[in-house]
Amino acid sequence: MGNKMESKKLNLWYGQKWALKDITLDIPENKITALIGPSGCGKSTFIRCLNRMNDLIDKVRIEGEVLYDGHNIYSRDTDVVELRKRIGMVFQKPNPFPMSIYDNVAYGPRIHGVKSVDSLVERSLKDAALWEEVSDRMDAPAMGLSGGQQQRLCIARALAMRPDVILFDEPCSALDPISTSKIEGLMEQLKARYTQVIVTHNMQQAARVSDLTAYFLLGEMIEFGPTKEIFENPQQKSTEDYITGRFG
Amino acid sequence: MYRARYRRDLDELNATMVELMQSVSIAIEQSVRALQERDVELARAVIQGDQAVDDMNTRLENKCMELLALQQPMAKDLRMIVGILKIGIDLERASDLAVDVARVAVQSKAVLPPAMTEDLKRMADIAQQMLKDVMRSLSEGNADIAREATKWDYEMDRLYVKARDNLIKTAAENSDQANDLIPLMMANRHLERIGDHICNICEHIIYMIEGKREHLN
Repeated sequence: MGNKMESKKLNLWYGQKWALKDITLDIPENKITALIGPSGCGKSTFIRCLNRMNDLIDKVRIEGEVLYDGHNIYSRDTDVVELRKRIGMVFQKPNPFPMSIYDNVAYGPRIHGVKSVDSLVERSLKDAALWEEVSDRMDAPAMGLSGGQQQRLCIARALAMRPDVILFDEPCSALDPISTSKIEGLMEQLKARYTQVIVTHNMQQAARVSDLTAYFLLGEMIEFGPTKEIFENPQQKSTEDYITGRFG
Repeated sequence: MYRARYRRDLDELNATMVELMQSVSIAIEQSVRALQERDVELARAVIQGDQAVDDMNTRLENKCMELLALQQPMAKDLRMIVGILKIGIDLERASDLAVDVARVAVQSKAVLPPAMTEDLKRMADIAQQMLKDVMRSLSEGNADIAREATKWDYEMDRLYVKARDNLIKTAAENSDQANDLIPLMMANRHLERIGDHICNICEHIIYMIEGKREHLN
């Protein structure tokens, strides 16, 4: 199985601040790649580079390449809207639109010109493991759902765009353990069809859900490898110090 | 200091394991001395002391389970806890074998041939030296010391075969003593098995320190 995405010598500056330093990292297809590290290490900045979300921030300068199916997403001919359709994102705080459950999922496909969205909405909600809980109240406001349901709705909303890659930026940090375990189970199910990248502060979560783990510190990627090896026998002292709680 | 209580718990766990090793080392030495000197009192003390070893191992297991459940240890901490759980099992078995040697001291009436006395004493010395090396390997974080210690097991095996052949010869020459010599044969075997358990411990130590699984004996 090849790499769905690759970053090559990726550097990013927020004004004068050098936030990502020469990050070279392969993201294999149909695997879950976790990014861990202390606050300010660059892991969220990195994940936002994968679908050019950092373009929206002032004074950001990026050097290096991010390849998606071998194509540099930072090249001039990239259609950023199309890119973000292919590389969806789920954020830390569930952010449903102030509209019905149905319309939340249908919104993206509709603005991209899809006329008949009923089956797409149903499939997306089923894939997000939410269908059984909401199928009898599709017209109810999405804001009335619990936090965990809202987050799965956001995942359904991302899936409705038929992406290739899903980026999760701290998707469970606002959720209780049961909702967290539903999201983690969902990620496992989605693995067969999607490539996933997750930023998490919860190391046990990274250990539970991911196939590969990258450890970031002060804008550098210190270590990257199979999750089992990173958590059982990391090669770098800094990684070991972080995951054993000796600093962080 | 991050996770100060956790660090303290890990240090205590390590200290308890070292204490357990020292207790087992003493039991091995005393069981063979009891056999050599026909010291029934000393043999009984070894037999009674086994309960304390079992209790200490149970405490060790409980602490390991608590740390696994509450602290979610990772990397070298995880390897240490898993290693200690496995070392505890081998130490507990080694202690049981020392007790079996002590039981022979209580039961057997046969007089040990002098050469065999020396060989059994030498086996107990080697077992103690191996345990000392294990503790040094752990305290210095140097897996090579544990690797080196496993080589002593070849000498243990050689002494076992020598003592066994000696006993067979003695039994053949003194058929009236055969029944009393069989427990001595068993004691010899128990000491050889203790060497195997200490080899296992060395492998656990290497895993704890370097994360490598090696089968050395």
